[in-house]
Amino acid sequence: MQLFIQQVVNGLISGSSYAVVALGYGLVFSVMRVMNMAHPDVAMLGAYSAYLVTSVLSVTILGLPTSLLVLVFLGLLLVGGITGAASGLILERLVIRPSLGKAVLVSFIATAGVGIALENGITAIFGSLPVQVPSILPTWAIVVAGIRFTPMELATLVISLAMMVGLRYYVHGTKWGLATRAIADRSDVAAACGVNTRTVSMLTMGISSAMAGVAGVTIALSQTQASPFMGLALGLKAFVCMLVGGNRHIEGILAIGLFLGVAEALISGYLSTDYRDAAAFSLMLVVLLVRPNGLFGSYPTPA
Amino acid sequence: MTGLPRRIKPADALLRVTGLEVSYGSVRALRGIDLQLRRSEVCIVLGANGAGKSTLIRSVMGMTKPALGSIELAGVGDLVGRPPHEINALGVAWSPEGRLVFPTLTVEENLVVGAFPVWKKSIIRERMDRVTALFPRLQERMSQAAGSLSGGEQQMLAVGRALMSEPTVLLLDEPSLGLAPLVVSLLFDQVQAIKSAGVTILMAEQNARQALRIADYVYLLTNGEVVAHGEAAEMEQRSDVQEAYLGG
Repeated sequence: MQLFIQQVVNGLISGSSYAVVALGYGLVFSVMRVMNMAHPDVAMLGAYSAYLVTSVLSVTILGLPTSLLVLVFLGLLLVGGITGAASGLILERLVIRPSLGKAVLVSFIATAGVGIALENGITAIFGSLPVQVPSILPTWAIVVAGIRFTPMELATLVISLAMMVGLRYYVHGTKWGLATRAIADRSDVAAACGVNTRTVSMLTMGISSAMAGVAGVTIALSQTQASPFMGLALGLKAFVCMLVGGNRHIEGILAIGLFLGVAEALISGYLSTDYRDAAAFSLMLVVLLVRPNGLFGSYPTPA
Repeated sequence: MTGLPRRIKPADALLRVTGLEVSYGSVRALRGIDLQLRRSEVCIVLGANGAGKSTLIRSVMGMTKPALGSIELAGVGDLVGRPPHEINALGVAWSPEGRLVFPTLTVEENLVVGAFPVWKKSIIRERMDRVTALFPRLQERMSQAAGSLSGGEQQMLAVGRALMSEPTVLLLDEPSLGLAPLVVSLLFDQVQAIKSAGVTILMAEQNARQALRIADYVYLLTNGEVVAHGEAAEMEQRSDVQEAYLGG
């Protein structure tokens, strides 16, 4: 039982990161009908921003009191978010905007190309081996009823959930969110109603990429490393979450992200880590056979 | 007779379409359309499926890029080349063919999007009251998803959403499509009420009998060309119009 609960907790932590990245795929698709395959690489850029900042500060970080380390931690999240948002906006302007209105494959291939370029660009600068990122938060374990987790793991879960609650508020509680949903329903009619679809596209790319950047920072800090190709596995898992959950509901993607994380953790705990990745793709196969639009529904693909 | 342009006093002219040509690939949807709107009238464009009515309306809204021609709005200039949200801000609103409400949004949210450039809640509320006074059915459905409304209700919502921007020109693309005759009659009464409030209406229709009842001026569109135009009362008497649109 102890092992079971421990694995569920571990799964929720990693699953929350999947969900955050999956939401970015889903949000961008619903607004622009574009599959942004460079999205997980934006998370990777966020991770490297944490590496850069910490390596510059490396000497000064040592020996800081915990309260200041928490400030450094928050600063890293901010830098990751800004890095993500900036890369997202550049991507929107240079790659996604020119491919709007064309077949889905055009943007799919263009953004996948950008992803490859980013991975190899980072390799060229920092090398292909993972770089070390210090764990900013204390590494002692919190033990609650025999379940162990680190402050960093707790922070990852809290930050991911907070970002999703914030995004849900944005989409359902603000006027720009209303415009976002209107565009997701019928982009041309929304434009004729006076909505500047370009502004909404930029907001969407900025917000979802900022979230990916922050997720990249939390992943780098919990794994104490970043690598040029860390986006690949993350991206695949998140992609599966988006397909399985469907891109219509934030809650749906969150649920599937957490579920997938837990399923992987349980398989790793009880069977073998070798079978872990099979979980995501078997889940995807079964769900797409039965419900091609995902469990909770998707916005239609353009013809 | 099609060669003669419509004569409107310059002070009364609101919208002037000149030499409008639109192609989809090798298909020429509009072949040099000339059309004029007088302030505060209902002008209808009659034509069969594929005559180019929707293309004309979509071009005015900036949804379709014409190859040639101009669309002049009085006091503004050419609308061609401007994006739809800008054309909306200049006082043109559109109720699309097939209604196309935002299905996952509630009726109220649909109306709010219709007034998107307005941020002041009191103004939005005021306009919403005016729309629901015109279409009381929408009031009862306010918090329902628009996709769950009946066809007639969705059409009312599409028109109401367009009115939320307080347009000077209202474009109605086949509002009667797929609606029961009684519902169409009710809807056209409201179109007349909208006109009385000072809004100029350009309406594409196939339902000539009902549309002629509220029309001031009529353009006949065939294969992307204006083949005839005139005051509604005259057009109704023409034998070709009776044969083609009024069943002899």
